[in-house]
Amino acid sequence: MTEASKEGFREVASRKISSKMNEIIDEWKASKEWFCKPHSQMSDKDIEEQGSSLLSHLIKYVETGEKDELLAYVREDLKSKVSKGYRPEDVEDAIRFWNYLIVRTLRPEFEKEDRKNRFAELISGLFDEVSGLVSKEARSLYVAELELRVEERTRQLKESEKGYRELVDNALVGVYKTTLKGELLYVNEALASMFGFDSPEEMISEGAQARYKDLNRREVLLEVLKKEGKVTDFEVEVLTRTGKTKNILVSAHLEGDVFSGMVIDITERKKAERRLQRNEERLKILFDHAPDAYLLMDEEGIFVDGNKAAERLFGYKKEEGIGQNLLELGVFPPEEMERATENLLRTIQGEITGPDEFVLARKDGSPITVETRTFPVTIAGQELILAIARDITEQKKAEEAKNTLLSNTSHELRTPLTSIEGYAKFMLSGKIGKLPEKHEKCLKIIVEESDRLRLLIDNFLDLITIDIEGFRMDMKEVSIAQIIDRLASSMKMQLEEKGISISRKVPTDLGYVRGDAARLRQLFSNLLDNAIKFTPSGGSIEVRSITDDSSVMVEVADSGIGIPSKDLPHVFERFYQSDGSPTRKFKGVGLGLAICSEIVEAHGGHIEVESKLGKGSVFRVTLPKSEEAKDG
Amino acid sequence: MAKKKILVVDDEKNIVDLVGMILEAEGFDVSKAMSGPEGISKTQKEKPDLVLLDIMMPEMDGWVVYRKLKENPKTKNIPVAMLTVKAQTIDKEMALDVIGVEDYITKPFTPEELVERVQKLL
Repeated sequence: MTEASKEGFREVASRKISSKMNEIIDEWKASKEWFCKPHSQMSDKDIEEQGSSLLSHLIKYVETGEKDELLAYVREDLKSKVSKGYRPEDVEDAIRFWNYLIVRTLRPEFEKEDRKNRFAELISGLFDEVSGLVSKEARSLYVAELELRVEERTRQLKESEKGYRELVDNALVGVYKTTLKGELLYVNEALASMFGFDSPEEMISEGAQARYKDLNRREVLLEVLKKEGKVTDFEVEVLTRTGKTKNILVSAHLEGDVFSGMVIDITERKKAERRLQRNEERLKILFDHAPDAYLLMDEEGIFVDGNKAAERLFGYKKEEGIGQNLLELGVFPPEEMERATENLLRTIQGEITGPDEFVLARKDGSPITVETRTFPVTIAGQELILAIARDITEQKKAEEAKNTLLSNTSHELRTPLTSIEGYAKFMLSGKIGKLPEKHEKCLKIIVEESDRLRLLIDNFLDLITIDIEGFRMDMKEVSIAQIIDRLASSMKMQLEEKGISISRKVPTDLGYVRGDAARLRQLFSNLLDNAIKFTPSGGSIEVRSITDDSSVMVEVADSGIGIPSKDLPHVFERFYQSDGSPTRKFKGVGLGLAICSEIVEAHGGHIEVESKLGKGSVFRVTLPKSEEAKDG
Repeated sequence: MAKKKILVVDDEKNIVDLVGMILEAEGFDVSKAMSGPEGISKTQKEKPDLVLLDIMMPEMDGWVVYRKLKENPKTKNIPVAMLTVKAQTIDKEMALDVIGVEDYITKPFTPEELVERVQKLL
């Protein structure tokens, strides 16, 4: 057959196939019931689609003689059917359909007309090939897919069962199954170990009843189970393998005469609860027996809780106060309200306040003096204020009494002293006649000693006052230069009398110190008094001062007897007395310098001393400069 | 020139006598009162040039006497100096700055000091 005739044949064949196609497809559709197995999934639409698509490949094959593409199409289509979940019988339907298509379309026509023709052979070969493919490959593909699925499902089932089993076996809570009679059917590891057994089997062998501390409790459990079909969080006291008591919670449900469920060990929880209760009781006792009043209030001042001391202090029962605003309860008199409110606000902002003194009113109206401290606290996430109030009413009364006593004593001491000193001095003045020399000497000693006594009383009263009231400082801008100036001129007579010269190197523009003028005058007066006292006739005193940006420094230097080096560290201590004072005459009362030191400290400065025995002493005072003065 | 008259008011006899001796020696005319009420009546009657007044006295203390003297138009222009054992700075400043007494002399005092301060006030 020539190439040309071959071309011509193919053209004819294609045309024949095309015209035949719809006829064959309709034929199949019409006799589908007969061709296909029951429940075939192949719809008419499927048939049309598959038919036309296969036939177009057939035509291509006829035209080109290329069979691989046709085979590849069949293979792909089978694969896709399997993966789409076609049942084996549906796949077979499809194969049967294709066979029919091929046979009806090609074979009868060409076999009949052109049996010896090469094309007929080709068609026949293709048919065999498609059939073989269908019978072998499609099936194997399908089976493989199916097997894969079965395997996967089996594995999933196994896993899930294993999973549940493991879950129960290894659960942290106890799991069990038992008969109503008390035979244990199952216990997990957790339950066995909860009861001190090495293995579930060991526990199972002893049965359920052996675990109950009181078997009546089991009867109650069974009654509930029978009545309700289940129990939830049923508390039981049980015995471990070694006989130790444990507290457990049982939850179970009944099925026939078997019940199963869960066990939670609450022994530790019970212990913790008891511990907590004990702690709470202890704290309550500590809280209630504390001598100071403890009050808790919320951010708005609403009273939340308080101790017995608070009830005693204010005269209210706790219940009367709860839910009340402390600021409105009448405890704070109007004049204390502002300070009290301010303290609360500061505490809310996280500050600790106090100790502050308040005069408050008890329920019966009587006044009490209290020292308060407040603390910001957080209890279970809530911001609260803890106020601690200490009753210092009696203490204050005692202090006042002491104060009055001291003040009176001092005055009582001073009055006779005024007479002693005054009469002696008057006699010495010669206004009532000249005295014999010996009498004069005696009178001078009386005057000197009464002077000492007066100084002692003055300083003593001063220190006691400081102790009781603290420094009552009236802070102002004070010129140190002016103070020293005035002191020096007021001491002029004293200096002249003793023949001591004084030189001042104090610049007038020394600057200002913020302080109490009277206290600072007392400070320098004490230092100058000392210098005069310890400097012999003909000696000299120098007051010099320098200043820098932040402080004013003043030195009082004398050419006096000096201070032994062993005494130097102690000269600012109260009542310090040097054993080695050269003569009794120079012995001070030991308070003047202590007062100086306290005054300097109260002003935020410091005082120091340098001295050489026999050469003199230098007292150096450094005071911080006033901020305003610095800026100005 | 007539002698200046000074009235000393104090419940302590020794103090009144001492002040009297010192001031008389300086040539002053000294009158004495041993209590607050006596001090007031003597001031009204004798019109002294200066009153030296103790503070802590039984019956009527120096501050009440002072107030009464200053409230009375007849005596309010007579200078009054406190003569007291209350030596603390705070008392002294209170008396001078707040109350406005003419002087504040603390006991014990030296005769010279007393004379000097009295002379200043006259």
